[in-house]
Amino acid sequence: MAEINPAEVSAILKKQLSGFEAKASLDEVGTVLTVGDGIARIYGLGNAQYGELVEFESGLEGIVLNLEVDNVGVVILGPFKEIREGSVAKRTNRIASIRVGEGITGRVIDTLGTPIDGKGPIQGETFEMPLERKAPGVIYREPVTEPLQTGIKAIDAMVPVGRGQRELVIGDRQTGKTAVCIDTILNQKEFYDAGEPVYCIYVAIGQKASTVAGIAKVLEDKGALAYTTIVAANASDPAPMQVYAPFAGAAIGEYFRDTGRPALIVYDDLSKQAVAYREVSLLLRRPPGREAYPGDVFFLHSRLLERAAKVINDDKIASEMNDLPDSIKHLVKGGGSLTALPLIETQAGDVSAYIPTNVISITDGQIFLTSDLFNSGVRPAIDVGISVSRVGGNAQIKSMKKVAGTLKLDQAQYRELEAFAKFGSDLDAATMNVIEKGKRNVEILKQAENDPFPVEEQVAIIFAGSKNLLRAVPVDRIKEFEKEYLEFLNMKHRDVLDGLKAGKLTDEITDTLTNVAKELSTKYKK
Amino acid sequence: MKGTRAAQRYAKAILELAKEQNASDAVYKDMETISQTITASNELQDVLSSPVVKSSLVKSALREIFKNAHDVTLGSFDILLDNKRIAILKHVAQKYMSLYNELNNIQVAIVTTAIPLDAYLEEKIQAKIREITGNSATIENVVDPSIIGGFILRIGDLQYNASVSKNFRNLKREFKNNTFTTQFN
Repeated sequence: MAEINPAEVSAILKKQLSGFEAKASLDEVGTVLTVGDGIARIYGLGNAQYGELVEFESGLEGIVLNLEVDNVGVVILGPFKEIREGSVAKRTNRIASIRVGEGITGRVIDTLGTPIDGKGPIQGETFEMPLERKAPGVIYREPVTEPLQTGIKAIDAMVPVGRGQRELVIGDRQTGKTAVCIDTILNQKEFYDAGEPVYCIYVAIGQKASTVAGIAKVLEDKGALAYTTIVAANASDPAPMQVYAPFAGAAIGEYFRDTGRPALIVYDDLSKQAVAYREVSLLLRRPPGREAYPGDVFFLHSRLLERAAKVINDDKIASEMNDLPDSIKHLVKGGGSLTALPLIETQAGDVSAYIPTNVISITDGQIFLTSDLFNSGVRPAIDVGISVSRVGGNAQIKSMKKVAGTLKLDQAQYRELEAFAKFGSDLDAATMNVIEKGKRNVEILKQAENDPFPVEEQVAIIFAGSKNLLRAVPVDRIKEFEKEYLEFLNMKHRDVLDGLKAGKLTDEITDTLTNVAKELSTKYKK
Repeated sequence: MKGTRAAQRYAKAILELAKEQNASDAVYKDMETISQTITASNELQDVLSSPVVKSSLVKSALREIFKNAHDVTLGSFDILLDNKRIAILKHVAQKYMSLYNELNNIQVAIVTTAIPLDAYLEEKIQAKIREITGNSATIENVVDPSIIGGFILRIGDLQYNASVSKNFRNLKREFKNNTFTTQFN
């Protein structure tokens, strides 16, 4: 160990002690009656309010969740080994909150905002944001009109997501739900580099710590951690921490939303959160309902997802938004947004279970991933037939909208006729045409993990597919063609791509794209 | 707490009856003794809460232990035994005491100190109580050397903690809950 300068030691000690007050305080207190399973019942605390934080002698905190005739039920946020019968708990007159600031990007934190990545405290000024907060009211909102580019061709073309939208990602285990969301975060790098970052928050609920570490590593390697915050409540954390983790994430998102900036939040996943909430509720002896979930599990998710919003682009109206925390009142700006991508894991494709139906009905559409597609090599395994986006259509850029307009219909027709393809070539020309085109489109929509596509490239390749310009290219060489085609466009026709990016699809542009595609496809002819 | 609500109701009924018979003070003393006795003797609590001990046996035992008790108190044993609620006798006694205190505007302040209070300190604490609640209170002194110094004042749900141990605990936490990274080179 290197030499230590005594002056430094005392400076550090002084800094640590600066916040210490050796004062006596008058507190409202209660006595712990029972403690166990992360729940404490406390006698006394007559004036405690619902959702208030209480503090135990050891400094551990808990949230009041049940107010009963002669005791209050408190969920303990942390290891409750030191709490015993008869110990004292005091009111704090605070509700659960998290400190958020610009320095929170690039960090891994827990539900209470404590950094767990070993990089020291959150830098810069921080503001207190409550975990539970009412969603903005109707007059402070705006319709979703701006696109949130996910970088995934199938999503941006057929189930577009807009800024401020809530789009559910649903599917069985091992179908690539997390991959879709991580790709979306990676794709925001383009905006970060351009100086208009979409701040991303990844909330990991009940996952293995190794998985979270892996995700943090991927984000860091791809340069995406700079604009991303990871909120982690791992599988080994107490159930209340897992229940409140999405709320902590939403509080961070709201900080960016209310200061006029776009944010994206991924809840991975809400079925685990519902399970944790069920655990807490049953331990608090709340009556179980369907699948033993408590009666308010719908409200749990609806109030969380309702906080995703597009805020009106008017600073004056936005500054009067309901339930703004005092700490950020002076920073409020209009035009911000919070886009939510909640994940739900289904069991054996059963979307009619309790939690999936609840969340499907809350969100503005869903992206459905199936294991059949995944196993047959269609990745991302998005089932386009039942995936929808109820509001994202207005948010698509014009060129994409025009190009992808017929794609969903074509693919639906293809799927209908796909079964016939197995009978061989006894089909009429029209049917064959639909099948061949469909096969090529499926190939185009396939995409590797961690490889998001910029929107202009997406438009260019989907244009080629939907205009049936790839007839001559064999299905197994489509990927090769795509690579060459995009490289060529990037090199020789950057202006065309820029035009597409700006939403233009003029005759000139379509002519160029058609010519390039036709010319290149001759090379692949058998 | 299991049975606290029942205890509240029994205590209320006993107090009403005792008031009618002008015996609430005598019953208060009984209840105080009962509470102290049960707290001090685990065996007694075991007997009271055991389902295998015959109620007639419990009855005679209670009458033997608290033989100087007032009739109202003895009657309450019978009713609790008949209703199979004798296990909550301690809670009933405690509830009775708090109801009695409420009725007679008596505040009880529990003062925990490291060494027994003397008259001078008691006076100072009494002043502090008046400052906090606006009323005086009867002081119950609990000696607990583990608080090291200072005192902890508890009146109902209010606690005024001026102990040395609390300050030490806060100090310890201040050092522990620190995401500070050392930057020695």
